[in-house]
Amino acid sequence: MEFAVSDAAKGIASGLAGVARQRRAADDATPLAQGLDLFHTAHEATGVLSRAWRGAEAAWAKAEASDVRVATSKRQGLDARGVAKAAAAAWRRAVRALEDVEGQEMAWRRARAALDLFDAEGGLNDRSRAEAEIAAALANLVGPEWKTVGNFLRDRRSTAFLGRMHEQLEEAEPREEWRLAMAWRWWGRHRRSTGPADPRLELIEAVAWGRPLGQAEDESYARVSAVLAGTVRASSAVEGMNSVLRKQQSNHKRMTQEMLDLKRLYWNSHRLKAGKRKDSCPYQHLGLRLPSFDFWELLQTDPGQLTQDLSGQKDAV
Amino acid sequence: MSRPSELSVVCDPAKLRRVATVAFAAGVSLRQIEDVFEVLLPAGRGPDHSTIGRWVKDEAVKAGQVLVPLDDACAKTVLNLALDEIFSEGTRPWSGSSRRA
Repeated sequence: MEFAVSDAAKGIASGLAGVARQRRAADDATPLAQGLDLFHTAHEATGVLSRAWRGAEAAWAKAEASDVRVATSKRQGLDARGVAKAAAAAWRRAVRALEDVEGQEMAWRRARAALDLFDAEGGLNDRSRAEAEIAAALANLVGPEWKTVGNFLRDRRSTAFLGRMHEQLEEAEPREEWRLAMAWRWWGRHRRSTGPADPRLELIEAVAWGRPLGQAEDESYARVSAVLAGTVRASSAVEGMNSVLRKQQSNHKRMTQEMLDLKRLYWNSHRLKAGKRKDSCPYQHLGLRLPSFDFWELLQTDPGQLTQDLSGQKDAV
Repeated sequence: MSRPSELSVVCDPAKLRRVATVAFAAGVSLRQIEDVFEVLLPAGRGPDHSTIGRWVKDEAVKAGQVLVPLDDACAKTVLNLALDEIFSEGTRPWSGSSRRA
């Protein structure tokens, strides 16, 4: 393990620090970095924005109600100056609230974009650029409601994946021009369409991204692709696993270590039925070569025999 | 048309043990497993709660032993690790303190 991604839990950070200490004590030079999970930051920000939007919508509804009061007063032939003044103030508050929440949303989008692998044109993002963008965005994300998001974003672990990505890319493709070109090609082939674009530009980009590569280029592209595809920003996988586990916890009175082991073996050997990892189990995706991936057969395997079977693979790895 | 014997499933103790273990690992509770056996098997022929619990516990201990070499092999190939913490003991504080994914 070289990189761990998690939420900001102190227990996890402490555990990782312990692993790093053990490695140092054993003269193990394997690097170990921690990244802060983008999932939790985005989740927190979405919550703050939702509350802000609800506040702005409430202010808008109040302003509309005050307009009704003005109209009613006028229709009844009453002096509407007082309610009209109140209505004007309500509209000022509503507009201010709306502008404020729009500003917050734009600032959050800027911060969120700073945590992408690429910028809008397909250039590789880097840590210093991301930190500068986050600092600029945070200037507009003020107030106690943004404190937690701000703390997450200011934490340097939030951008650790970018530092690691660049280190790995340089190792995968030392030639900078090739590295950038291959990364741009990968971005073009994996990006989500953002709507209609200039058709001339589309043509140029399609040729550039779809052009068959020579052997050296192809190998370079494969190495760069592997780094980009393996850059992890969020712990969605473990969150998904936890959601399964929590559901099961509600079914069982107690969850002992043995029970967890049984469930872990079951899920690790469980062939996925849908999604991009369909038809294989996690052990297969990890590249393990086992005599059987059937849960029951694995469970009945002699651990000593399994150790022998796997030790050969370990040497190969 | 199939004869009933072709549709029947052999439910010897070994098979029942396997069904119970797989069901439990997939998230079905012991009581629910017991209920399913009562539906599938003739009255009084199904294993009782404590028997199912013992089967599952014994298999769970075996799972821990099998996982030792498997974890060791996995650790060599895992470069990125997604970590989270979840409470599994006591009075389920996870329901309040740990946000759903």
